[in-house]
Amino acid sequence: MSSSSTTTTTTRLLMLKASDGVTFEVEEAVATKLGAINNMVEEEGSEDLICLPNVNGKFLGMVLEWCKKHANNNTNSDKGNDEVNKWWDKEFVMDLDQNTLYHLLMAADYLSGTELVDLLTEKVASMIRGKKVEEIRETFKIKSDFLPGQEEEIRKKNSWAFE
Amino acid sequence: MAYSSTEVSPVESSPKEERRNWVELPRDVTASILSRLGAIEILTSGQMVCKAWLEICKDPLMWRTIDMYNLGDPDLGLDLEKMCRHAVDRSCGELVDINLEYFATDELLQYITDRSNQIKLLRLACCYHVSDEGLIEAIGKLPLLEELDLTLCSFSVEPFKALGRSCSHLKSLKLNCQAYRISIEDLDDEVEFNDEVIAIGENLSELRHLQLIGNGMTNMGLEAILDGCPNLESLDLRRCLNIDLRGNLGKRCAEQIKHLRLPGDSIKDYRFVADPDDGLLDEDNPFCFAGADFLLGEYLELEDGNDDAYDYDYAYDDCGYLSGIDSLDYDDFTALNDDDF
Repeated sequence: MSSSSTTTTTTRLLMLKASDGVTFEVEEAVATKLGAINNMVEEEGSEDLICLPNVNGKFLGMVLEWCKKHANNNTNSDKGNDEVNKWWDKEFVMDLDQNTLYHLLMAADYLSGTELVDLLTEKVASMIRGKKVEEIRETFKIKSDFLPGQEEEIRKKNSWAFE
Repeated sequence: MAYSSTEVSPVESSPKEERRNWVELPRDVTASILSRLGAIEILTSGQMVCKAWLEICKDPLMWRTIDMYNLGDPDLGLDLEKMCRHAVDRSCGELVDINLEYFATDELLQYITDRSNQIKLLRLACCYHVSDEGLIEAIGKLPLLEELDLTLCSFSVEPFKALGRSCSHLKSLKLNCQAYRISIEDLDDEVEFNDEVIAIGENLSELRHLQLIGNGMTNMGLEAILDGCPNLESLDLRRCLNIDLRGNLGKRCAEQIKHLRLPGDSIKDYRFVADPDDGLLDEDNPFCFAGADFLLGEYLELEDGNDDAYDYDYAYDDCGYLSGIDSLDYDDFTALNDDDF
């Protein structure tokens, strides 16, 4: 019997090092779902260790977990993959606290994980929808930085009720 | 605890609340969040949260898409037309995709098309106040139009002729309505029920996607589409209750169209009225198109078994002939379903 098997495919492993020194060993096919990693791999070619000084281990781990899930789902059977991904994405963002959501979004953006950024920005948008200006500020702890009178003026200009 | 904003380092390992500042998200990320709110919420709330968000909302690129999503609720209390004109002004001619459901008028269409010649996607669902003339005039000014949604509108066949003349890039058309059944007597005037789709076949030969939910056409109209639009990739025939797909026409549809949705398929992903006023079941009507009967059985099964994550590819499997299962003859399958009802 031949020693070569169709089940073993040689996948290159990359070592990703986060800002706090935590390292992750990831298959290249998974990590290159992130545009930033993909660019580095293409540019540097043989480098197996990639340092990511702007992302810490906790959030890098979460980003990679998402990449892995999507890479796996996409290599499985072709049918219903979108549904599986959608379902899994829903679960992924469902219970994110605001702090994690924020840092994860920053990390995903830094790593150019376009699809993940889309997922997370949609989650943030869902937390804004249906809220009044004051409620949005309250939810995201944003202070109004308009000058006195300025906000009143903007509201007047943007009054859309029937006259 | 006091903290200085200069200490904020967004991606550092600290679960502390004060380490995040939503206003400091990269501009593109904030723009992506805000644009997901739709034009109405951007104008009524999103833009007024802080200076940075207001600045982003003034960028013409934010208004390449103007989605005036609303539910046609007259109690909304907002002057949607005024808001829409304002949004169009902000787009500075960059507008590509606009949704005007429920509230468009001839005057508004004119205002928009006078200021935007890049529009590729125009959605006019439930716009009862737009006239044939108003739509035709707008069509003449949209040479790049690729997709037009006329769900639940009532136009004559004239706009289709105008589309054929002016919009050589048109790839996708939605012309959905509420389903109805026609009687045997109606068949004397069969052409009347097919004039829209015949006009589509005659004028829009480049179409790739056609959605005709609830259309009253008979096999005559369906044939006109298959003949006239040889490039169709997807055809949505959900709730077309007057077509009979049991014979060669059904086979032809299956062969010619890559993504076919059948009269009895689920409409859960469709947000307007599609089922006929008297319900989908039609036990009293002796003139029942066999296609509807058969597909109804499939419809009920699907409604039980599937949730909103519905993939129509599976529907092909359910009805046998589309998935190419040789052992199951299409007519046998139909007979089986007829017995059930």
